[in-house]
Amino acid sequence: MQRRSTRIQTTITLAFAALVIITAVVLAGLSLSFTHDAVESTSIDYTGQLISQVTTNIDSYIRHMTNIASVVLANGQVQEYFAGRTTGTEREDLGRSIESFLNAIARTRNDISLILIGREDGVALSNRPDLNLNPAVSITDLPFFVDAINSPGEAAISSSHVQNIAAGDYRWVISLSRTVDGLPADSRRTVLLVDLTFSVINDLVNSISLGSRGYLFVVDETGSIVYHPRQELIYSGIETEFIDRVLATDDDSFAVEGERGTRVYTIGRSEQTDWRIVGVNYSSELVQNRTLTQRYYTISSLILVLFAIVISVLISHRVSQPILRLRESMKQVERGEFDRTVAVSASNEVGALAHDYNIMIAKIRELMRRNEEEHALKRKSELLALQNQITPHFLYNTLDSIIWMAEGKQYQNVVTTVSALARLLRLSISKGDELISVHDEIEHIKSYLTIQKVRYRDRLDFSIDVSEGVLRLRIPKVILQPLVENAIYHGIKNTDHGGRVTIHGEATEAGILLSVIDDGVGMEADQMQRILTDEMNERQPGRGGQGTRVGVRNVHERIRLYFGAPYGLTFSPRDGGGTIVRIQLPSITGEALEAVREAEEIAL
Amino acid sequence: MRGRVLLIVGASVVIVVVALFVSDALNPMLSGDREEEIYVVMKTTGPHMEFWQIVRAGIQEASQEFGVSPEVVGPEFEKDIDLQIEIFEEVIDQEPDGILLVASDFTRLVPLTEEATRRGITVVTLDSALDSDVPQSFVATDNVAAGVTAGEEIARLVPADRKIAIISHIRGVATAISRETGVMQALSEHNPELVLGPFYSQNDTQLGVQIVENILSEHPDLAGIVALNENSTVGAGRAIQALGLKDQISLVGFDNSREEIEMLENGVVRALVVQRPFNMGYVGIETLVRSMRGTDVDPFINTGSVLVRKEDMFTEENQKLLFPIIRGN
Repeated sequence: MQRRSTRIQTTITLAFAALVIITAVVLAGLSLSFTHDAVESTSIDYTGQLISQVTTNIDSYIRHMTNIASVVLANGQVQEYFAGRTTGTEREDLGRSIESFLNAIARTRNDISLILIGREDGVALSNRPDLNLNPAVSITDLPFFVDAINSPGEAAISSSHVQNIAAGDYRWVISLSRTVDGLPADSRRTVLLVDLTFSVINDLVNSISLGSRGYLFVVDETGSIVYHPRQELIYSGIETEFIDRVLATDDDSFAVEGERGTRVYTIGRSEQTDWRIVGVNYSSELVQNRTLTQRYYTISSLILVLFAIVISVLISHRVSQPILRLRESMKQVERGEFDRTVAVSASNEVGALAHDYNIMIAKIRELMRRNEEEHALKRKSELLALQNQITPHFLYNTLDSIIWMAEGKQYQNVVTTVSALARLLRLSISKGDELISVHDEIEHIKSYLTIQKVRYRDRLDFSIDVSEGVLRLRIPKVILQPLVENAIYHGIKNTDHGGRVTIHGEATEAGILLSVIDDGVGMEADQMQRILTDEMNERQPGRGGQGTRVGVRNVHERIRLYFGAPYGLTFSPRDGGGTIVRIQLPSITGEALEAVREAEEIAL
Repeated sequence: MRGRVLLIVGASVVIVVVALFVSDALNPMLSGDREEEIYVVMKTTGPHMEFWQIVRAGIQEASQEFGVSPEVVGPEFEKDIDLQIEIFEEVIDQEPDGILLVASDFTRLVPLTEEATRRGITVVTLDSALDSDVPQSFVATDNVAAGVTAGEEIARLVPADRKIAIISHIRGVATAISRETGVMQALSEHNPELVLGPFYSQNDTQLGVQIVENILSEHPDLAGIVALNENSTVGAGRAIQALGLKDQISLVGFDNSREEIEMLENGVVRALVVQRPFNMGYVGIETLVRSMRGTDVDPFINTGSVLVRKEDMFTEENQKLLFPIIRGN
């Protein structure tokens, strides 16, 4: 039983929990993938914005260098000086003028490291008057010079490098170099160099952080590193960088699986330089957010599921518990414990069910109680009826009278008495039915009176007057005999002249009215009252007196048992002495009795 | 029935708690609440030594890569050995997870290092050796190999029948011994009578100049010098420059001071053996972190050295080694 009830609870709990778990998992999964995508795309967007900003800044530096170069080259003095048309002090003055011009331009910004115009034979002018060319190198060997010559008329932009054109001076710069145009065709090759202090770009790129591990690097179109925070590691092979892939791809980003996780490369392209500015994000850092989000989602889902389980347990408990209790009570009732009620306080259908069940049990209990009561009453009534039967004492008296009459050769009286006694006995032993016809009851009392009349001879007379209509109706048996006995012993026996007992029977509106009328001594009013109510001892057979009173009360009780109030006996004095006992009975036909019996048999 | 409800509630609580712990265990690094405590005990924290600044740049880069934030401590001056011992002791009392130690003395820091290891602190030594096998690893330039590189270069520059002098810095110092060994190893084919020295400059430039002058007065036909550290190289270079002997004497030196670089560029120095301080710092932290996180690490890790000649001074790779700090005007 426990197991079956558990199954209801388990079913509800599991259904609830499954529902909530599925919902929670689906929602968490959806939110998670949404969050993941959102976080990833946001961070790629963010990286892209940073990179385009860096690219813009770098381009503006380069553009500035290009502008300086244009301004310098637009100055006609430069061509004049390097064409070699002037000599002597005029040339020196021109040189000084150009140098102060270069110096003025360089001073407009503090990120210009050097502006220099150099000829292949080593003639050079710069913004730094104190500058000595490095004797250890030839200007024509320097990369900026070579690059400018290789692309005449165009600005050549170097990667980051150490400038060694000045003696004892080594600076990290970005070099823009360009051939000086407008010189005579036979003149020596002359190149303008503008050096941008690399630290401005270095600091710019270095200041950008992409997460705690991400970084930015810059490569030129040949794959040379302009800036990389781990340049040394790459050169010595401790780290590798996907420079070839950066150069080869036309996409704005790609991802690379690596030893320490996936790296996402976001690429920006500088318009001025063909450089690639590359942001590298570790996707594990995106995942860090993701893992965090994942954890929050997982925790909240778990808490939700926990609540769901608790609530579903409580709900299923609430639902199944009344059913369980109901079932428990039913089991007890099954075992016969009808005094149980189901203590279910639920206000739902189960509560209503329990309530109805309680009412049903109460009804059954009431029915059973009544049934038992009726059985008890019936037994009692039968007992009382038995007590009213002919007693051995009466039989002895009668037989004694018969012997006395036989000795006195009063044969006619003997015959009358014996036949009356025989009828009396026959009626007494007749079938155990409690209810007999009025006719049979009248036959019975007639026999009794016949015997008594023989015994009391002239002192007792009787008459029976029962209407034809009531003879077939049914009444409890042996109700007249105790009344007649009482009338004889208490009414007539005590008179001097004897008396008369009249039995009267008729149908009334209420049923049957039988009357036993004697013209004896009569009774006091309170005596009449007491006869039906007083507690008296057991009847003492043959003693007459009080014993017959018990019989009278028995009759009353039996009628009440059978039919309830207002049926039963009523006593009243008779005009001119004596007592009238009225027996009020319901009108029951034999057919009705049969029908009731059949119904009872079916019910059983 | 009540018991069962309690059981289910209890089980759920247990599930939640276990889930939290599992997710915690899955990302101890990412959640950030379990970051390892690391100290770097330097020989010098002053700004005057470019070499150590580059080491620190490497340390910084590796810290970012491996998600640690080491505290860098140490005396301002390298010679302050007592102060370094004091600082090292204080660091050990903090009981960090790991210490990267640049020992200023071969023997005096050994007892403290052993104490640190006893307390469960992972110790990795950097650059300078320690007379103990307790540290998990020693990350440094392989000076024997660097000596071999320098020796091979001088052997390439100097004909087999010419004299080569070896100028070392301090007798008995670990780097000196190792580099001498390497050079001798590379010169094993050379006639031993033609290999002079090693002479000791006592890490003094002026003394280095004098030594070269002394050698030349005795061996005017000297054709090659191997100088085994910065000051020895500068001293030898200055002597050669002063005597105008750069075409006669090939000088191969160590390290990359500004003066050495100029000498390399103008041909006084033919080649320099340069260490990789950035890599040293980076690999030092990497090795320490790996060891702390339970990976087996090699007891010695060579961060390598590079031979730079005049013609490849300004290659992309070498200019970053020779001019490690980005300087503007």
